[in-house]
Amino acid sequence: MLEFTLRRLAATIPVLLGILLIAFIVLYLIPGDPAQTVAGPRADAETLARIAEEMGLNQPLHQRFFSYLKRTFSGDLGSSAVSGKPVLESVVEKLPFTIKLAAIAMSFSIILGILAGIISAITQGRWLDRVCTFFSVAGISIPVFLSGLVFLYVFAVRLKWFPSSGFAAENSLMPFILPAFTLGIRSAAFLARIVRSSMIEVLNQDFIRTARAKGLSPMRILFRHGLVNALIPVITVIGLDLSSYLNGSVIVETIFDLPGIGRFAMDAILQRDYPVIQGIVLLGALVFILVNLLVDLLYAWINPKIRDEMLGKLAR
Amino acid sequence: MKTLLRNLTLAGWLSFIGIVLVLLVAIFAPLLAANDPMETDPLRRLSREEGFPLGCDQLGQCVYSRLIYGARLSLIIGFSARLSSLLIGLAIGLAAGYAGGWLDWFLMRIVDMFLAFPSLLLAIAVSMVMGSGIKTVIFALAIVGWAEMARIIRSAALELRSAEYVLAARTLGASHLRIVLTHILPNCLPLITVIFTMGMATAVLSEASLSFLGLGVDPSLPTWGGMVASAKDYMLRRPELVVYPGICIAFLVIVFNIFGDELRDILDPSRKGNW
Amino acid sequence: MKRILFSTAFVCIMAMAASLLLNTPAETNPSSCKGVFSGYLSSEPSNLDPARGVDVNEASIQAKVFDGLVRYDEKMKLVGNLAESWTVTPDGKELVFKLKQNVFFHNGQALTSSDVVYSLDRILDPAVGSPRTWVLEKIEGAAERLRGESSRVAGITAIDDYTVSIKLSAPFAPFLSLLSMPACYILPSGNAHAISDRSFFEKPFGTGPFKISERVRDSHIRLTANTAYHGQKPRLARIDMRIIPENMKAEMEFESGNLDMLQLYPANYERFKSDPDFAARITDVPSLNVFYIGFNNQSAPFDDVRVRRALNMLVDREKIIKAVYQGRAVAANGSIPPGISGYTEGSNGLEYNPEEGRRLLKEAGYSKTNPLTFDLYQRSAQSAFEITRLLQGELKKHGVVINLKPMEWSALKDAVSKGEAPAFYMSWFGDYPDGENFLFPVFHSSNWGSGGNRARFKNEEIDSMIEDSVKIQDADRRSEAYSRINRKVAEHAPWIYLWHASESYLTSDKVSNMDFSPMFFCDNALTLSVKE
Repeated sequence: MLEFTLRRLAATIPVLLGILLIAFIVLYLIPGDPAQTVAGPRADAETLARIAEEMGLNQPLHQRFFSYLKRTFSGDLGSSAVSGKPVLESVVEKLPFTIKLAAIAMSFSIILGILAGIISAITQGRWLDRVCTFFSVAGISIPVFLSGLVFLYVFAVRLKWFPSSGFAAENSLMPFILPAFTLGIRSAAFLARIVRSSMIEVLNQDFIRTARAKGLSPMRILFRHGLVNALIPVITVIGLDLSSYLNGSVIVETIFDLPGIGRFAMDAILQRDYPVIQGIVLLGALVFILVNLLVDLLYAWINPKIRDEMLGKLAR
Repeated sequence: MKTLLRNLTLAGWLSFIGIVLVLLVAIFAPLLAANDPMETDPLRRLSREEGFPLGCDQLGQCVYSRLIYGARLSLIIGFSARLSSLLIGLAIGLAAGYAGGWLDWFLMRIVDMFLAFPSLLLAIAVSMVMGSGIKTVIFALAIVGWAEMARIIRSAALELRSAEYVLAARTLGASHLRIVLTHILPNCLPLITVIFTMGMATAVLSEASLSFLGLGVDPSLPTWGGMVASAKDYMLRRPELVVYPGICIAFLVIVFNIFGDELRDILDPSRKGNW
Repeated sequence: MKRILFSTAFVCIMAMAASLLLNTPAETNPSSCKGVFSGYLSSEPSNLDPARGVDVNEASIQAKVFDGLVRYDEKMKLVGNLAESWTVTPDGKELVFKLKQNVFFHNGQALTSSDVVYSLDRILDPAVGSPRTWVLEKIEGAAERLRGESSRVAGITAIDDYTVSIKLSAPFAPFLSLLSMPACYILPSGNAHAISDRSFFEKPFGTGPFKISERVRDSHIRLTANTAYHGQKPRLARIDMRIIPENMKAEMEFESGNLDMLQLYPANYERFKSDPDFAARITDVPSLNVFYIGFNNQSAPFDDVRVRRALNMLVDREKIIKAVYQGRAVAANGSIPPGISGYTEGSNGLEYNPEEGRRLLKEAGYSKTNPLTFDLYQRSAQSAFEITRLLQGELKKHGVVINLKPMEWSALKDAVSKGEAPAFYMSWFGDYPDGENFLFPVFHSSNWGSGGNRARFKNEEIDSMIEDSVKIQDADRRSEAYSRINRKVAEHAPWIYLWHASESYLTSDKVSNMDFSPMFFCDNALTLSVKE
């Protein structure tokens, strides 16, 4: 396990550096003076000069990259070109909203997805399976912005079951339900398909047949033996799906008016607030890498066979 | 290929027909459209006149014609983006899978990097650097899509590399490039078809999302995502202006998804749902 | 004797009590301010500094938080605000203002003439870099201050704690109107330090009827009633101004009951008008505005007057007004809107005339093989596309190719101010109801950029015509002069004159006494009230 962990970490580090490099370079690729890009169009000459100096534009490229690395690791992700507020501070402020949204969405998706997947697997080939499959395909095919708009209109404006925005909703969960549902449907559909095929594979295996032959009740078989094994690939999928939550949150938070990171990114994009965009893109990538690292470690820890397989892959 | 088509289920055939349908609509757009999709006329605003099968939008443009031509743009953008992703993904995936060793390790780290960025934000970052327009959208979608392809192709190449005929070719003195092109690549074709098809679904969806956010192509060009974006202010008054393009997007994405699924099931039934 | 003593004592005690009461900000019973009004702005105000704010979103907040010496009331009459009274010398060169006493800033600090002097002087301080220096340029000593030759504007003096004298270098009739503008709002001189490093403007405060109690960027600005306000007390307890750039979102929020007011656009006007529940609560305000396509008059292709005139003639305004605004707009034949001094009726020679337009373009060198092509910068809002897409389509029929360049509002303002945009779709909203406001800031060559002259128009004859017109004391003759200038500018066609549009607002049934004067955005919400 230790060897695996170390090797896995070793694989992560160059990726981290690479991401930082890309984020660093993008700023210089944007047309115009990089200092102006960071300072924002409204900065006066004084601020511009100060920022140009901070960025060390007269220094050689590799030195600039190192100071960028130093700054980033010390938590300085730059400041907004529009408000001057440090990016990290804004992110910390808005993160709870997005986390709440993602958590609820994930709960929806796990419950719905696993349920639909199990039903499909058990009734494999019959009409219920086909219906579930169709809905899961539809779930990943309908654009989030469309379903979001429709849900907003039908459930919030017309039926008034839910508030239509996240404003003035201090500690309640109500404003998160609808957007989380919109986000969660997509993941649920995705999960349902994975769970279905995973369950089918497991249910066809020998040890299940043995259990049935032994006369154990179907329910018991299902839960104790089938489900637990089938869920292992699900963990990886959830990890990989995390990126889609960040993407989805950009659209969903904008439509449903939640002051989270996604909306923050959207506003920054509209206002050409490059330091903020750079900061969010970087953070998104970092979170993704971290989550995948954890998922891989978890996965390997649960199932030693997989660990060896992955170790083999890493060593190659 | 033939085995593929022979083993298609009903769902597979239906979705294939769906794709062909959209393709035909796109190709024969000039014949099928009722009017110039970009012609505006203030006096026709929101009207339902003769000669305009689905009425006009708030700029007097023919909704039906825009939907027809929208198929063209969606397919062109999706296809170009996917092709670009494919070319890059093939080059890197084959190199990594076949060569192995440190090159594989290095290239896979780069793949990991690109996979880590949230796709929408990456596409947006690209459009910030390159400005807006069709080329940018295609490039952005290509950048977002190649990593996944590279990874899958690499696994395939890795497996195929140790096949007997490859080893035989090697001993006969064939160059690496030759082996890759004549042995490995052709055996990857079914796989490539599958991931290409499934990727089309994502590409169409991503383009629609970018257009909806105002980061897509010129809004005067008829794209389905753009149509939803410009009609959303009218959603409460003329919901059909949003629903029609929405249905089109959903339809195209669904048929690509189903067809891709079917292809994958045929190709390797044991891999169901694992990529 | 006893009675005299007693009554004297009584009077003394009363006098003492009265003076105690008068010298502290009198807090009214807070429960007299009731209700919360939920409003919204279409974009986050980029700058709440009166010296630097230039658009209606900023003005909306500033008008509630600050006061000026004078203001325009709902009937468009100029009345005193912080100034109790004023006198103007017969030669029109000196104005003396008597300030109200017992006025307090939101932090408890009392208002004195030093605050007025500080605030007005600041506009002309070169370190502040205000784009609105033209507002106070006519004050004696302004030019020296702007050039950095003096540290104070000589013409603004505090005669005593409550009297301010402003001396002009030449008589200038619209000066009082200019003093009502947001640029001249009074800031607390005691906070000069925070003001100069701009940190003050994150949550600024003034003497106004509302205080900013909370501000979350891109989310909302919360205003609570200033119960110690010097004038009529506000009736509302709180105003929540949310930032909602998307019309569709605002509409949904209104229908959900989360907003008390909705600005209607061609997209949703008819829907609400045809609904009997809403129709009665729609107010159409003939606003002080002009919508136009501005050109960068200094660079090709728009440095050629033939091209500019041609484009005016190729646009059929009436058709668009009929289709989109359904009559709620008036075609513009000059920059001055109807009802304002200087409004000019009748043709300006730039009517829709496609043959003439095409001929002019041909003369200027454009043809089918060499079509006139340019970028049109605009806001990224759908409501802007409604117009620009139509214009694009219409002009295409005459062989002109327009590429639309949408961008967010503050990015647009910057691009235009810097002269980067060859053409742009914008509007000009009047700061005060005088024709001069539609001529001087937008066409005088000293105001290029964010000062107001976004089209970078320069014509010496028109410059001097404008300068002369403001010296005329007689209102009617001045109006005639404005009218002549209006016509003359049209000859040069620095813009495509589009229209003067009514703004339409829908209020919820909770709202009463919402004043929709033509300068509604500058409303300080004093009379507004909501039912609980």
